[in-house]
Amino acid sequence: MSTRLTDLPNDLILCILDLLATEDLVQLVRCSRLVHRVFAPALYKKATLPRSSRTSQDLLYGLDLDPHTCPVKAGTRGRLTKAELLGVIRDLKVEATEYPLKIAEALENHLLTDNALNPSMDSSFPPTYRSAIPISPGRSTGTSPFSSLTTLSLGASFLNPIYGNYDRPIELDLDIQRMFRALGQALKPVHLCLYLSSHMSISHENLYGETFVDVNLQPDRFLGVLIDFIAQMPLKTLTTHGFFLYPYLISTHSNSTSHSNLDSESELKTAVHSSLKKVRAFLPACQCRKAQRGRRGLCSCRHNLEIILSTLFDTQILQVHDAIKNCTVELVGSVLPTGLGLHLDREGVTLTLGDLSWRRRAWRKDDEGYVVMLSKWMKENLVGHAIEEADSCICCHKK
Amino acid sequence: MAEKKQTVILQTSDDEQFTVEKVVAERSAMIKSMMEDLGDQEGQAIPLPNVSSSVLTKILEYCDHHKTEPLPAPDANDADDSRRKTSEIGEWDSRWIQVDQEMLFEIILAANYLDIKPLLDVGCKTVANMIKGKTPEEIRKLFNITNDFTPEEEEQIRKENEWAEE
Repeated sequence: MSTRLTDLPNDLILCILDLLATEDLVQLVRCSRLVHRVFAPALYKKATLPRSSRTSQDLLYGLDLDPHTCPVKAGTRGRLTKAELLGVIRDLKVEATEYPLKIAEALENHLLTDNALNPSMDSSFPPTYRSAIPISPGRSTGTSPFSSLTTLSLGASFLNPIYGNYDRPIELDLDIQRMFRALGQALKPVHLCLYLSSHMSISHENLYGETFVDVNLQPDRFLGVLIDFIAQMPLKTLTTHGFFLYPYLISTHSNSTSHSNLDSESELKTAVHSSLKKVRAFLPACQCRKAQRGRRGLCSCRHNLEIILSTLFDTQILQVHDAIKNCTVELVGSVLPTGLGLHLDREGVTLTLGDLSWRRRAWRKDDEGYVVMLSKWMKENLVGHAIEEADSCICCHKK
Repeated sequence: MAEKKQTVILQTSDDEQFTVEKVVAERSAMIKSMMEDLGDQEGQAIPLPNVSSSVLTKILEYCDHHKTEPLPAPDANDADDSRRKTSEIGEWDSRWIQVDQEMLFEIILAANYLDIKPLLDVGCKTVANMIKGKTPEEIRKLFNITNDFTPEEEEQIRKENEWAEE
């Protein structure tokens, strides 16, 4: 019997797939059931939810359609179901929020079988999909939708409208919260990136009148929702673009006790899962040239760095925060000063690092020990460098 | 006096033996490695149980044409990635690989077995180029694929994958 295209071993199929554009692959998988089984998974390795507002069918289309209702010719094996194909996805980008409710409903109805989000799930919904597509709280195996998910990127076109309209009418805000909860329960990536464009700073001036994106100074509902969302994921790396999430990420957040997957008491105090090993922050581009000087003549990027380090160091007690003690923190777009030290004067003691400083009131006898510990932690765990020297983001491949 | 060329004997799955210049046979990383393992055992054939004589004849033609080119480095996978991902095939190679489909797939399988990376690239690129720009019906016709979808199911698949289209 002669060799056919579909008889080639997997590694050779992959070689051919590497050379095909997506549009060719879309045509190829429509040829037959066997070709669909062999080639369709390649279409789903990297996916976008939804790709754009003009796309009439999004990634989740077909999840509620029973493939067995379509007549199948005798002797042929079924093709891969949409649920199985979604189970192949390794890299997912979430773009555009035109349809937050649509996304939430699709995930709630078709993926989340524990009814945690939707206890009143319509009983008329086909039972097949309530029982056959389980999503467990942790990382599941097999072919359930999104079970292979490794990287998740929440793009600027997804996050910017939400952040920019955090004061939108309450009904819409509830839709956003519902969508985030559904996404958080359905998606369990190990690498997450969040992208907020720096142009969002135009309407959000911080306390010092400087124009960098400083989400840290905007403790609004947006951050709360985002942090609840992150807390559900057993992340190994967390990357932020255009902002730094840390002050709120490592603080106790109001809804944290509702997350059943946070399995120890210490984790209840923070959105950081104990699995987290690396935090990367692509900081907003420095505005030094047209410096709008704030306090003590520091330009916005230095002041931003001061806030970030203040949180990491927890300067009130001079101790690296527990939540990130074992993490590597990489600040891209910010050169770190050197020379950590303490200065004592009549007003008390000040922690300094190059041109940055954090004033404290009272001297403590173990302060010097803390400085030694902080220096060691900085040397081993903290990296700051120019954007040109940084690797691209593992999730969105951007810098 | 001209230097005597070193040769090696290759034995195919249908028990044909081919006496081949060593430099030609060494285009195959697998054969090269076997020769190194076996040492100098003159007259002993190297068995190739996964390659038929018709396919080996064709492949030796390729290896002979490319025998003067540098061998790819053993770890060349990543370094050569960009070269491999272009769909362009050299002029001689594209003429050489104009064979029937059965032979094309046999060449790809043999190139994989014999570990001749540049030849594997040529084979895979040829298949990919055959698929590019074609409709499902044209692809079916080309590869003799029977459409076992019902019209409703094919339409459902088209819609399911619409998200991926630019």
